[in-house]
Amino acid sequence: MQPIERHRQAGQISVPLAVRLFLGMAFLIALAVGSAVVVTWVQGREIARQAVDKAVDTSAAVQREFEQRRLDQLQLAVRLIAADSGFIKYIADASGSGNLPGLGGEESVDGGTRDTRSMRDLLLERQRDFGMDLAILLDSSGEVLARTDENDAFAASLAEDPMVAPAISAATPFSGYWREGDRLYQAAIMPLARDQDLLGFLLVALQVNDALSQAVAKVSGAELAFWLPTDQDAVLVASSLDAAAAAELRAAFARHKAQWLPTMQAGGSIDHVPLHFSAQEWSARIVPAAATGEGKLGSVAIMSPTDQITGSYGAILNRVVLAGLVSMLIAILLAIFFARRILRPIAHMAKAAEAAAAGDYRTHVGIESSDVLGRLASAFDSLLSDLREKNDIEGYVGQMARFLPEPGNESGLPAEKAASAAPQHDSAALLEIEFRHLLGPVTAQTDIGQRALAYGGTEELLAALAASEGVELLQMDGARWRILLRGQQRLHEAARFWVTLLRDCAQLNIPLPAGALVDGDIVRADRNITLGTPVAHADYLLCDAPVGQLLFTRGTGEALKAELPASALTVLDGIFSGRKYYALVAAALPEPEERSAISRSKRTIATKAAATPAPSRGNAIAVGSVLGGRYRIISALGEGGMGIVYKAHDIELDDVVALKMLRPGLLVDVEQLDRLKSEIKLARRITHPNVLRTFDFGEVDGHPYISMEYVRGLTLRYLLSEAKRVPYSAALRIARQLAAGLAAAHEVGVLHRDIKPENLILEANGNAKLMDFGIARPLRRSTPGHTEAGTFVGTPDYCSPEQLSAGEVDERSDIYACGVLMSEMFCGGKPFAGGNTMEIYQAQVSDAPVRPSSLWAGIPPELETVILRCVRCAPDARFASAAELGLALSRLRS
Amino acid sequence: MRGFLLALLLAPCCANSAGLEGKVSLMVDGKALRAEEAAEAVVYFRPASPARLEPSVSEYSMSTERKQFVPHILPIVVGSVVRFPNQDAILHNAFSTSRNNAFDVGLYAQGEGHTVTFSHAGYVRVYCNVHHSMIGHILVLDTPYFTHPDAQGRFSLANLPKERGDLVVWHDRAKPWHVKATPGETAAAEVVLDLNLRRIPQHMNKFGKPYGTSDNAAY
Repeated sequence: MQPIERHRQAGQISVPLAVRLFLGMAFLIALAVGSAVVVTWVQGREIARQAVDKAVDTSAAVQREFEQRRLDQLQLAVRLIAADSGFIKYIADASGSGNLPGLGGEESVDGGTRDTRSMRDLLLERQRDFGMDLAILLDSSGEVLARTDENDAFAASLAEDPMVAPAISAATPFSGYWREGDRLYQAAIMPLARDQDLLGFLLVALQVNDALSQAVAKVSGAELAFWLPTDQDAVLVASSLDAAAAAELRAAFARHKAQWLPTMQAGGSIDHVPLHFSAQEWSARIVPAAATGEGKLGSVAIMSPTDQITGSYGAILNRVVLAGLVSMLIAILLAIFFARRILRPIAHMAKAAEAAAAGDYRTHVGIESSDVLGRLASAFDSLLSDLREKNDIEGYVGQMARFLPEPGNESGLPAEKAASAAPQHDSAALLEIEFRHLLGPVTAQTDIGQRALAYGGTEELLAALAASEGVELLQMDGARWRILLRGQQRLHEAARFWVTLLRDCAQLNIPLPAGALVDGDIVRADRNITLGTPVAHADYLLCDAPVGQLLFTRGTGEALKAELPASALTVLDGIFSGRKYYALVAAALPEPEERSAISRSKRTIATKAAATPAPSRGNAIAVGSVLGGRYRIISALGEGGMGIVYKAHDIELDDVVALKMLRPGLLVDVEQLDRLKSEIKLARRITHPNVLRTFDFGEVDGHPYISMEYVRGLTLRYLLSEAKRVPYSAALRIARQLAAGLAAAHEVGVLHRDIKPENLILEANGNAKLMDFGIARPLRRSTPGHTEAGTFVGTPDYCSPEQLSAGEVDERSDIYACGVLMSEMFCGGKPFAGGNTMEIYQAQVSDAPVRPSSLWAGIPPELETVILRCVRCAPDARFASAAELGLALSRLRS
Repeated sequence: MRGFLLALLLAPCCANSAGLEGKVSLMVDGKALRAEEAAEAVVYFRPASPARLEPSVSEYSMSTERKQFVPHILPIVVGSVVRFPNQDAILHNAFSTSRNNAFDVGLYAQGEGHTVTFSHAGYVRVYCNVHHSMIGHILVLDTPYFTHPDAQGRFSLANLPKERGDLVVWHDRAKPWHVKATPGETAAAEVVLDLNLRRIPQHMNKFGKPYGTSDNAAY
């Protein structure tokens, strides 16, 4: 058998299953929830950023639209003014182009007077009419004729101005951002023409100031700030912020100036600029005001507050994280709970298994579910139930087996039933016997086996005699035995015992013993403790006793004198002390009556119940003799209907077997012998733990014998004699085993025909064996009404109606017998009562069987049904086979 | 007129009357125009204290031919009468809003038209109300000493009073050439007129197309 593998590898840390399950579930939950939270977080931030970007984009678009609208307005205005012919004429006249040189008589050669004052006046008027911030009149070469923001006509030229120059060169209208010094305007310039002759240029402008920024900010939702780059710095020229915020913005800009200024000067854009002022977070985009690359015309920063957007997204994210944490917590708690719950039945089973391992089979798991756990639990319960039954029957049988005599002591009555612990004070006669031949010198040549055998034989003889006399035999040290006799007739019985013993020894060729008889008061405690003066007297008396003589003490002798005829007593000298003692004259006593037909059922003997055969049966085989050179007889086990059963040692196989020596008168003809042989052949084939094995048939020295398995145990009859009925779980186990053994036998084709409690033996481990298969078949059929002694082995109580009526006998007859046996075993009574065959048969066919429940009230209804079905009158109504009976029994649960 | 000018040219300098002469050449964008283009210009001399003038007895004429005022530049003496005949088959108009010399002859078909008397000196721009591109220039001078350069661009003014005055060469598309000159003492003038008075290309709309076309009807 292979050793059970250890599954745990060395070094592995043992973590409880519940913890592992919980950790696994917790990890998965954490993974799921955590990843969800993380993804939400990341996505949320992304979305928030996109929202901010969108806000900035929208603001930038609005701002551009606003500025374009303003530019359109400027263009329209300037076109309108320039298209006014009156304005043109006025300007033309004012610039002196209507004068002929020389006619006016002016002094200067250079052309005419220019009435700049008039020009300025008209310009101012037009500027106010159209709501412009600035209007400039230029001549055709770019010289400033008049400006609305200057009272004096300074000599200046805008010919180099980046916006004016292209207008002058191309004589086309122009518009866009215009920077003059530190001021930023949106301007439009238009050529003034009279009849397609260029008179000059008109420039109108709207300043980019806070008002504009605020107007844009109001519509776009983002704050605006216009920066104009100077050499080293950038100046905030306009913004939609209030003064304090603008100051903070300047400060913030000053901090990051180094990063941003180069880009701004180059006319590039910067995106996603984080700013902090006015106790808020902003995201800004800096783009050139005019066009990419035109740094000179300034940059505009579009600033969108991020707090609101990020705030709301942040709130969402916080809630998500919080919800995630809470759900994770709850889920983990639930995980703990579920792990425990799932494992609780397993823990329960583990506890039950541990209890069972410790010997307590009374637990019951009892989980009702159809899943794996339920199956495991129900299988476990079945196992526990089986173990319980086994335990029960072992306990029961074991209890009974305490009274089982030791090997070699089979033919003794149980020394003391339930030996009482309390010491008893008694008047008793002690008969002590010593077989001196066993105490001979032991040398190197001594055959020890022979000596032991002789001892055993002597012992068996004494045991058988004690049993037949009904006295208690105590084995003492050396080769001494003590018989304890009580009662009024004890001395008489002791004398009779001695005489019988002498006779039996002579018969069996055993050397005679020496004996001593002392009567007196003793104290008995347990079986082996005997106290009192008779003990000592008997001791030294025996030392003095010669072989073959029974000595008495004076007192005992005097008492015996009164009971026995005078010739029964004599006086002898002690061999040791030489003192004179009374002794018994054996021949003077009457012959003890024969004790035949010893009540076998009272014996606690292995396999067979019988005393050693009386001398009238001259077939007794001597103990220790060897049969056929193969079997050495160890002891006689008992007597059965077919012959005496001996325990023997198979020399060939070095095994202990039981030998049934058949009575010579049993086999009257060859036909019977053949039949027997064929039955034995069949019986030999049955190998089942619940059937006693038959080994062989043979003939030795003219004695036919059958060799069988030797088993130590109690018969069911003995159990029933001790206690009226067997406890339920033990009896159920026995019944199942009986059915199993019977089924095995029927399968082979053998009918038992004689199932009864005497034929069911229980080993110490609770295993039941059915014996006497087919061999116990009645050899002559009997007719109803005739009870022929010797033809029925056992009583007709267990015979089925068809057996009693000599009808067809088959498996169902065995089942009938099983039913009667079960009724007796479970309930303590048989279903049909009667003193003889006739009465029983009559009860079987006409009366209803005694209900088991009336015998034992606590019988389970299913069991009652099974038993009743077994004992039905008609064979067809019974179980059809032993297997079916076994199945029905297996459904019952203890 | 030409003969008179020629005579003046050939005449040597005489007492109490002298002459001024010169050559006028026009340039556009740095490139000289053909000599006979200079004939369109007007050269006049105005003494510091002009004598009393008598208007010309005959009418001047500025007619409308082929949707143009002919001659383009007409110098007259103050007080003269100018007739505006219509040589075209279509109706024409002539008006001016010039200071002091505003007039409007009305709309009339081919025919002699009407006359206008210009009693103030000055520069009169004549337009046609119907045809906006028609421009004529009338120089109402308070001196009789004016001429056009000849086909070679030469001019000569004779019988000028010997006093300091203004010598002006006028072209409508150029800044007037103006010097103080004394007849007889001032050398011949080499006048180069740079016709740099800018003309504005026709103003297109923002699609680059002229105004009023169907493309921008929805605009």
